[in-house]
Amino acid sequence: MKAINWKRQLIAYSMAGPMLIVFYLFVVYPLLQTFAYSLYDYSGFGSLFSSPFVGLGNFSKALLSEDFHSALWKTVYLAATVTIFKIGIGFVFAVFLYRKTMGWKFFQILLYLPAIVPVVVSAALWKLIYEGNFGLLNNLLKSIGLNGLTHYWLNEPATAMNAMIVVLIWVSMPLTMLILFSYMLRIPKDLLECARIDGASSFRIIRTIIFPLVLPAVLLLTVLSIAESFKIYDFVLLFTNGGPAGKTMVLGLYAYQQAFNLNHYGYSSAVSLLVLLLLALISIGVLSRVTRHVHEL
Amino acid sequence: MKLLSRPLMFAVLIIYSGISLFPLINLLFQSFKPENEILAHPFTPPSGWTGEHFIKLWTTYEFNQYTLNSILITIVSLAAVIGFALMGAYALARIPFFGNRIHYAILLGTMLVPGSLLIVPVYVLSSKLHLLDSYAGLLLPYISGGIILPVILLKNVFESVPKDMMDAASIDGCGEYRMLFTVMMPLALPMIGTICILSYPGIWNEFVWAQVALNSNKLFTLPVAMARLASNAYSVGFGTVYAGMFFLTMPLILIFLIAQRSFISAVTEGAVKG
Repeated sequence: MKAINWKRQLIAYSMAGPMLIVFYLFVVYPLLQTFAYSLYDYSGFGSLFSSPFVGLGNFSKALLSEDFHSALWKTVYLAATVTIFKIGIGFVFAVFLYRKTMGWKFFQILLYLPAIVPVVVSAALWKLIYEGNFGLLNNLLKSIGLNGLTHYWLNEPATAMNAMIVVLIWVSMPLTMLILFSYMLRIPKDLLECARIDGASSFRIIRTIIFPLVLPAVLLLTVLSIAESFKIYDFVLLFTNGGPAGKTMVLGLYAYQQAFNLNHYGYSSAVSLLVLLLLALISIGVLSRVTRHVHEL
Repeated sequence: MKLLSRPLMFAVLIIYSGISLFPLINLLFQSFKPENEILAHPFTPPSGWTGEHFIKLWTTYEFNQYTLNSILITIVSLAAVIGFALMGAYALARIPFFGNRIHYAILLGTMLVPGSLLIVPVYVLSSKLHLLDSYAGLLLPYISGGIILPVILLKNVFESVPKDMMDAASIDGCGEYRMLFTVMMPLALPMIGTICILSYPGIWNEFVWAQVALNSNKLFTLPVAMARLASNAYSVGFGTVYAGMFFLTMPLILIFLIAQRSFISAVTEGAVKG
């Protein structure tokens, strides 16, 4: 039997120690706590075990709650719209960059800039743009004579959600574009040349070569985008705080408010876990398609 | 192909860039415009550029303090993330110690856990440890949340170093710590750069945890101060709010423009590997 080198073990733990301590204390332990909270009617104060044990009560309460359903559908709408638009627009611009349109290096940088803007700034900036009385958007519409189209964008239930989605696409499209572009750069050049020599049109090349080859990236980005949409709460908190009339109350914000505004920590944890479960199912569903496509290629 | 002709693609790019950059260009104009001009001429460059809003931020709204706080928090978190990740990744990659596989598996498994799920229990934990309303309470979750991807990326780098090179150093009597800092770290410098680029905006911009964890005015970071400013826009004055936004965004845009090539490869790599 090989003797255990205790000194080496000690050195290894002294090196990995700091990382492991912060990781277990502030990631793993809180994660386990979330599971525990979700089983109790916990208000965040005092000991967890002195608060009433409700078993899966928080979960059934969420699944039966109308607020939860409405937040779920709003999140699904947000996720679907943001994902479709950002991948659609991102793909088109990635192709433009890939085809070396004049100034493509410059555009790559310009188009990326919105992605750098801090969330606090993008929320405050766009709030002022959408403002009803003196906001930029209404001002612009009035100056070109479209007075009829002006709205109190973030105060009217009909427009608030879509107004928010526009900002989210503005912020997140650039990274999508860059990732698709970086995948396109990996397509073997001779493949495209062959197709061109055979007289294939640009559209055909995009449809039959470029798109299928970046499809794994598209599916991966779809998962990431859906996951982001289900997690989002910081931007909404700053932008509309769920209003008007709950029209932008997405799941992430719903869970946040249940904890920090209403002290329903147990219920909030259950909602977050349900979201995580849903996300895991969606990711597995889409990612299994990715692996299938990768095998086909 | 008519639809994909070069002039058309160029035109579309110009138009979209124009629309998408307009809010940022306008932010620049508004921050340097006299207050009375902001509402009267919302689209035009200022007739006379003024720094009054920035002076107001600095003197009346204590942005000097918040800027210092933000810089301090960002540097300390980043240094801790890199230091801890270097040592942790080295141990995981190079020393077979008890539980190394399990630790790494748990690390990978928690990658997908959203921060919003942890914010409630981390808040409760921090309040029990009396960490709320202190820099330590702000920093520790930043470090733990930001360390997972760097550990994975650095572990890959360390594993790719040829074993012969390490053996040679070992025979020369080089201990693990010296091995890490004199032999391995120089090899990992490009990855450390990538990690800095990927991590610092998240810390510099972080808002929700700072807002939840901090109470004392003098501890606020820039995003928290900015959010307070924006929610009182009518009494603060729009010029000052715009100036605050400009001040918060500018360092990020400058660093991006300076390091854009490595920035772009870092974010695409980070997103794909993450």
